[in-house]
Amino acid sequence: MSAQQQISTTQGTPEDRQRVDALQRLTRRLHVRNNIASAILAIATGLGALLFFVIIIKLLVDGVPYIINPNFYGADGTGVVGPQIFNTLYLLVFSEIILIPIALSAAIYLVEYARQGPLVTIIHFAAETLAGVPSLVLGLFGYLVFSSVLGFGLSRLSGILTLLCLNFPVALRLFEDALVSVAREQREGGLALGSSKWHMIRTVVLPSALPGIITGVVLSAGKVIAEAAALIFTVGSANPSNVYTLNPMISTDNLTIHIWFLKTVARSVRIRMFTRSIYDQY
Amino acid sequence: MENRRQDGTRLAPGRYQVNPMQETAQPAEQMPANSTPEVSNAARHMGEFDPTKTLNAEANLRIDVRNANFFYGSKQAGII
Amino acid sequence: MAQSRQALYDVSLPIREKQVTALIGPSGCGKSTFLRTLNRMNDLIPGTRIEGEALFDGSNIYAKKTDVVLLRQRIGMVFQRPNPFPKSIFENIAYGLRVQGKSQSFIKERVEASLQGAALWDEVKDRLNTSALGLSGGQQQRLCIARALAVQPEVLLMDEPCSALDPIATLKIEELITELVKDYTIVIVTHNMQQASRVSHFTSFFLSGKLIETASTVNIFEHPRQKETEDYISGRFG
Repeated sequence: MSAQQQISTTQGTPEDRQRVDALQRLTRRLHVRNNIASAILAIATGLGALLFFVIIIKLLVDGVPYIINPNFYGADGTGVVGPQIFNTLYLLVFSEIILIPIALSAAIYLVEYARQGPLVTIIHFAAETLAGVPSLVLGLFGYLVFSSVLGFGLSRLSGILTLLCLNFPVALRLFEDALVSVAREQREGGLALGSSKWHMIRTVVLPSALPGIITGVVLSAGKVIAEAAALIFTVGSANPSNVYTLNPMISTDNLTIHIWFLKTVARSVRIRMFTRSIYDQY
Repeated sequence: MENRRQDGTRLAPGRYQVNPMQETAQPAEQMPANSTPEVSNAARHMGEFDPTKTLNAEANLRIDVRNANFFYGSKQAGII
Repeated sequence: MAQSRQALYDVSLPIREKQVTALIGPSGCGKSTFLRTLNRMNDLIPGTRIEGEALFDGSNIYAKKTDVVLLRQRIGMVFQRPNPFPKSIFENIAYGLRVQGKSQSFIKERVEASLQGAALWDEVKDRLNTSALGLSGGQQQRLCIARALAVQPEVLLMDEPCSALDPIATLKIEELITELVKDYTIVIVTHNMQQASRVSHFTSFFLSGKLIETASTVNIFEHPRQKETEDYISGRFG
């Protein structure tokens, strides 16, 4: 068992030796290039991570004293960002409640039922074009259609409908991708057991596509939270006293509009005085 | 016995060759000797199983396919 | 109509009750396509078209008005690669029964019977609620057979059921086929001529979309009538 095995070496001819030496030089070069590449990639990753941590630390250091103060949310009645947080959540929840069923239904129809022909291609083209339209332009569109023509005025409802226009193409595409990624074998397995198409979609496709669907929901939620331009024209930037209601017809502001408002409009002296009086409490 | 395989079908010597493109399944007699009892039981079963004994050439038809022609659409022309 | 490609030419084939019919032939010969016409699985591919008739219980499978959902409950199928759902072992078997709206007690009974029928019960009886994806490839394929058996089909179609399995798992599936044929009519597509000779009563040889020859398996291998069949089974091509 422990007997030493004789390992044969390449001793042979000078040609053999030369060939091995040449290979050694080649592999040494390959290793050097590999190390350089991995070093560059590591540095790039490190820079990205550094930026990331700097932002988070800066936010925590500056923000925590405010975040833990109940008055920051308006507990004493002056209300600095409480209404804006409420409105952001309001827009988020209601736009998703309307968006998810519509976009998911459309995605299921396009992927599972529609005949894959020119019409589907046109729908995809339209959705992709719409996804590339700047939100400011969609905001103007929302103002024209929902606020003016349909008469919803500056209101949460107009904002929610505009957000729907903004998010629908993206959500549709993400939901479609999630459905398409479910393996054909899985669908065939369900159908071969005698289930109808809808039952198969419900029990096989949707559960398997769930992670992708959740990704779509999260990404569209991120867009809603970060959106300002499209909402300025449709929800407005008012800060009414009866903000904590579910009334969809009132005009309010949300967090992003509030920031925009403070940084631009609030430069006018009167408002600056007003906001200072609020911030002076801290 | 040379030309009779274990499952009972008779073959002329050298007539039946293994296609290298085939699946890796081996006849029962080539199963590894150190396998589990379960596997050797299955191997024995397959060694004894003889489809010629249960063949019923006059069995009722369950499905009767007549003159089937099948066409793929233009988009799927490359797929089998 | 844009140019379509014909995959099957004038195929006529009787499938006999409680016998195993094997479909053999080189890749792309149409044997899988033919199998998938029998439960109309090809309908899922857009643009396909079928002519002719396949009589099953007095009606034509290929007819437009055929209820494919009903058809697939009566003609089960096992696929080339095991395709269990990402659910528990129990729920995989129960799937077809839940489609049919069976009661929970009935489902429980049938799950056990199907797993026993597929020779898998002893291996999984203690972990019915664990994911089916944790099973080995061979076990997954037997699970898929059990899943098909659970709805008690009259015919079982098998599309190269062993091509993704190792020799021992293949052996077990073959043994299972020889047991199942006592109760079921089986049609099996296989690349493997030895497999065809081990398990099947009848063999049909396909080539380029045509059914070249169909006969009892013994006759196909011993006395092929067609030159093409003889060439194929003697390994001269394919």
